[in-house]
Amino acid sequence: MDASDSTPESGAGRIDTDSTYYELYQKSVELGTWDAEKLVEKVGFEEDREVWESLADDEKEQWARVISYFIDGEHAVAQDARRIMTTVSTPWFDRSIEKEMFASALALEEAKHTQFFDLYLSNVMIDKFPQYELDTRRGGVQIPRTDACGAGKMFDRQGTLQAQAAHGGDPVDIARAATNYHIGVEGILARGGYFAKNRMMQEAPLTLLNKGFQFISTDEGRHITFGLELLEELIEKERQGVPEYQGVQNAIWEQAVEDIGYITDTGYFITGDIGDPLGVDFDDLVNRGARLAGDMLFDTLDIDNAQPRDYMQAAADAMEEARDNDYGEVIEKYDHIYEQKKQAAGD
Amino acid sequence: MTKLTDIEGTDFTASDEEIEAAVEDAAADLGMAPERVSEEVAYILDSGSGRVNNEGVAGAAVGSNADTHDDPRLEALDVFKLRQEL
Amino acid sequence: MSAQQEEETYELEEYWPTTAWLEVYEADLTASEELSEKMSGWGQGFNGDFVFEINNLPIEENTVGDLPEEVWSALDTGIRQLPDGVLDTVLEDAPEEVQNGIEEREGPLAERAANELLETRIENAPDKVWEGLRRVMPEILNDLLDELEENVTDEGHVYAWIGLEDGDCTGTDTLMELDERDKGFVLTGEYEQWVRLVTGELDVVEGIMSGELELDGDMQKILQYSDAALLMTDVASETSKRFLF
Repeated sequence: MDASDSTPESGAGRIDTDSTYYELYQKSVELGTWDAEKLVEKVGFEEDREVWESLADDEKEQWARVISYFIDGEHAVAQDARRIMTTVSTPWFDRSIEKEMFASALALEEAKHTQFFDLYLSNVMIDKFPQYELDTRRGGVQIPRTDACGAGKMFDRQGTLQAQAAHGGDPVDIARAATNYHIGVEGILARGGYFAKNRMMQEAPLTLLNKGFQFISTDEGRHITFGLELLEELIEKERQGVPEYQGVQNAIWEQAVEDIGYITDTGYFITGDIGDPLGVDFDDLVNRGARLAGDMLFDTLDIDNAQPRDYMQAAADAMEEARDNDYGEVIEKYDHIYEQKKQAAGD
Repeated sequence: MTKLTDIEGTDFTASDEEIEAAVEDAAADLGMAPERVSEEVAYILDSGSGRVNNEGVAGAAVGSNADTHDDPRLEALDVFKLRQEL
Repeated sequence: MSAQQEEETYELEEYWPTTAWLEVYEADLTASEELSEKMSGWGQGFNGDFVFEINNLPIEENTVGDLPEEVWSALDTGIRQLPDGVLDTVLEDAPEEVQNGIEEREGPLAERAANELLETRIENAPDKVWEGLRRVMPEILNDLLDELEENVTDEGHVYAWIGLEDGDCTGTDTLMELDERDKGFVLTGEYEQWVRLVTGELDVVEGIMSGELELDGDMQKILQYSDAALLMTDVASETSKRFLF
């Protein structure tokens, strides 16, 4: 229960217990090993089912849009975790077991997040997800709602970037992948989602879902810190003038700008596009996202040559597309594709 | 490592004394040192970064947990207590 | 003080933040063809008016002597040059607090009087001047004290309202309360951050992302008209200005 209390006495062997990565790992052991099944058992589905059933269809739809991108996002990350483990063990980082130890904890946690959402969605929200059960690795696709918005594209991009980074990628590739995942997906898209769920919980208090989100966001906080530490290492080497690391900050900024387009689209998809029945408020969501991005990119990483107006422009471009987008039609299209895949898988 | 009562946030409604008392009660229930509980709860909120950045917990109390009076530190303490039971 | 320095005076409209400066900004916004083009359709079907909320001007901690030298130097010189007899007459009508303050100081009367006035905190200055003093005060200081009384809240905030519709600035105003006029957008920041913004040191987007500035309003519209919104702050930084603090 209180494992790290014994650290000073047990001393350090080959593991550097002073490393931030070790601390993150240790905190994962202490805080991240919650049991999703036990959580579900302890809190139970009943109260949430009751609230869910009392919701109007558009309110259910708003939750469904948020949860779709969470479950597909967690699923995508669980798949990519093995690539992150490979990437952090490459010689581009000062080789150390501590990063791999943390990455292994991250892999477990992402799998557990997928497990929690899988349990929740199947037991509470299933009426909104007739097309859900097909694993993307067994010939399936993302949930149609995820595919219809920027998040779906972002997760596809994440897979490509993580693969490039893990399989012979250089520091610039690694910086792109880490920015996309730790800053974009976890740092803004997911945290924007928590912001949204906090607002939605006021109107529709789904207790078990809230508890799950609290554990998940606690785990994600460590993942984000881990990602920022990795990026700081790469930036440090670039600033020292190590030739192979030149271009790292530029890649971080370019990726962040690309990702804010996907994120803005998703933000609109879960709020303005459906009339925001549970009162998230798109304006507040945008402001929160901007702050989260600013904290990470400017305060923590302090990247050089960033042009904040590029960031706003990318969000503006995404918003322009979003306004003209008929998401319902896109969801229907993906529904159709999903149905075909399901039949094919069943055959 | 950030101390729980050193964390800054705009929406803190409980006093430091209330936080310390709640931590001591929780520590007694869990059979842990209060300092250790305080440290873990702070870590839940900021992942060691010194800033409140856990959106999922920090704003979670809204409307759903009367016991924590919307203070994210108390909400995080609740998360920690529940985590110890899982 | 040399004669050359004494000639160095500026109009009220050159000082930021004042209502007179805001009118110059209005004229600059109106003159910008680029803004007319990029803001075409702005405010139609929604309220496009802005308030620039400039918080916590340092009127509590700063004294009259902390204002730009050209604002108070003529007062200082004038008082120090007045024969004691004349100065006595001027001070006769001074508020009791000012008279006591002068009394408690040491040194020649003119020096005591000048120091008392220059060391007055800006927030208290409008209450400490009297008709007789206003007659020997430079006009700019008079105007600035009026500005302070009429356009800065007791807490030291300035609410600058800027009417905007379809590429035109429809007017400007300063408010004593934020709710005094309807508006669609409020850009809020501390005085120091506003100084950085209107000197071009702080980019408005970076300011919002870093939390140094806050933008309240319809973000869909801001993103739709992002070029125009940015241009608005660019014009503010390009409009010439002298800072009061």
